[in-house]
Amino acid sequence: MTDIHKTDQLAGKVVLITGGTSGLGRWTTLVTAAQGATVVYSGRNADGAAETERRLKEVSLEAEYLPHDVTKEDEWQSVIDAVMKRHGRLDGLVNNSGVSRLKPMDQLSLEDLEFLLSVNVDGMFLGTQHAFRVMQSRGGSIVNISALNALRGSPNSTGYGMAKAGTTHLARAAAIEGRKYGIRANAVHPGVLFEDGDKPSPGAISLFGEEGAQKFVQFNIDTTPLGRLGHPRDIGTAVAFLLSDASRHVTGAAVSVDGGRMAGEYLHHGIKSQK
Amino acid sequence: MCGRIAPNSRRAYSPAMTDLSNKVAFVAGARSSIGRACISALRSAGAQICAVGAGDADRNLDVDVYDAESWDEAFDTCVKTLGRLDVLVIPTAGKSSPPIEDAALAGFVSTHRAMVVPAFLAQNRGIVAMRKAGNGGAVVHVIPAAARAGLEGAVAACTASAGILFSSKSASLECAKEKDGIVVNAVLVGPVAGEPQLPYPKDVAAVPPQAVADAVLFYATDGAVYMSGMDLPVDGGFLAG
Repeated sequence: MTDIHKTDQLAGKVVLITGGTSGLGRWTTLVTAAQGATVVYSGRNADGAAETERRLKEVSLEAEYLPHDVTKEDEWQSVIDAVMKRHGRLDGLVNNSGVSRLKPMDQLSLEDLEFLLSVNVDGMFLGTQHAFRVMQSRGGSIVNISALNALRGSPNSTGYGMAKAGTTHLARAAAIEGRKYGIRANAVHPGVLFEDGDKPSPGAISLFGEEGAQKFVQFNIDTTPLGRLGHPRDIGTAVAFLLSDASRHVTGAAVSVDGGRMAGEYLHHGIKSQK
Repeated sequence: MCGRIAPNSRRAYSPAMTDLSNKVAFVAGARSSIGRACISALRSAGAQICAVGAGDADRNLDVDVYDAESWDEAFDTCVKTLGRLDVLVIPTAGKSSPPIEDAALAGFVSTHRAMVVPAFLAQNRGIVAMRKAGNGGAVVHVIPAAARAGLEGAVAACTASAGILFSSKSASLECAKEKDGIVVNAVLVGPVAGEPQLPYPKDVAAVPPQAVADAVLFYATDGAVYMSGMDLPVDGGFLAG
């Protein structure tokens, strides 16, 4: 059941969310639409889009889907063109599409690294650049979904951490250049999320196997100060705040929604004690 | 560099999206423009309010801010008269610092005492009172952005700001460990419109108190469900560049 709180915080705003076809992007689409925005969500997976559509209908909300590979410049052009043609403005962009490949440094291939950089950095750069072009006249808000791996070193995340550090820094740089146009840019760093109880995600199972994924979940619960995993809705709520006028003086921020992990050195400490 | 920020922003934070009705907020400093803006925002979200110093609150309390027992009495009064304690806002204004050449310790100690001690006592005694009230809660510090950036001519105010920030992060971990349902977060503010300033660079735009109050409200409501030990700059990008 999709439990969601409806408000008018984003009424009148047109928001584009990449990767709205799964997980965090789907919940961000739900929360943003529930807060009154006109939402366009994009992504590569049509089946995922159908599921997002179903979840929206379940709570009597609407959003529009556009097929979109964020690594392709021409596709950015057509997605932005479509939004502008349909709605005449773009107030918010959520650069959510991202990928992860966790491997020890000596096993990470250049192809792996290029894949990580292409979606997490190239995709968000293209999005930011295209959004800038249409937001310059009236301002806007860009939110990049990054990861805690961008802020701290962690095992098996050489490539992922580098790419997400790029994601975070892109927001900071866009904040500085965007200031004269009234364009804000911020990065959000989610902790480890669950959607269905404390069951491991399909992604974690494919990475670690069934038993390993269960251990991964428990490890993350144990190393999160608040003692529980996050829900994608919590991240969506922070994203909605950053898209809204309530955050009108918040720009260039690295926002962690992580159950307190960044308050100390839990990420690092937990990994040390895991060994 | 002093650019426009969100020129399309005219709407205030709508009460509809943040419901604090049946909640009680304690504002540990009502006299500053930030304190007043927070009271107004919390009130419009439906909260009942206790405030230290004169202000538009349901209860105005006098507190000797350097005395732990005085804070305890104030929090007791709040819980006794309004029934609970859900949100604690602790605004700390930057104070002037002695110059580096000043060999006497007194100036440094005085700036530290004025900034750190009230914030520290309000936080710690407030957490104790929140635990006793038993509903969990949100503690929100409002601290100068000098907590994370050096400023010329603010050697004491910068360390005091950073001290409060890291005290809040430590408190967040202790509360999480206790599983008391209390989250502790901070808003880092740049120069505030209409207030005496720390020596920020001239091109840093002033932040209206209402924008700070909106961030406090975000922390005080559903925004903070999974956030603790976090610092959110409300500074127009000062700390980003």
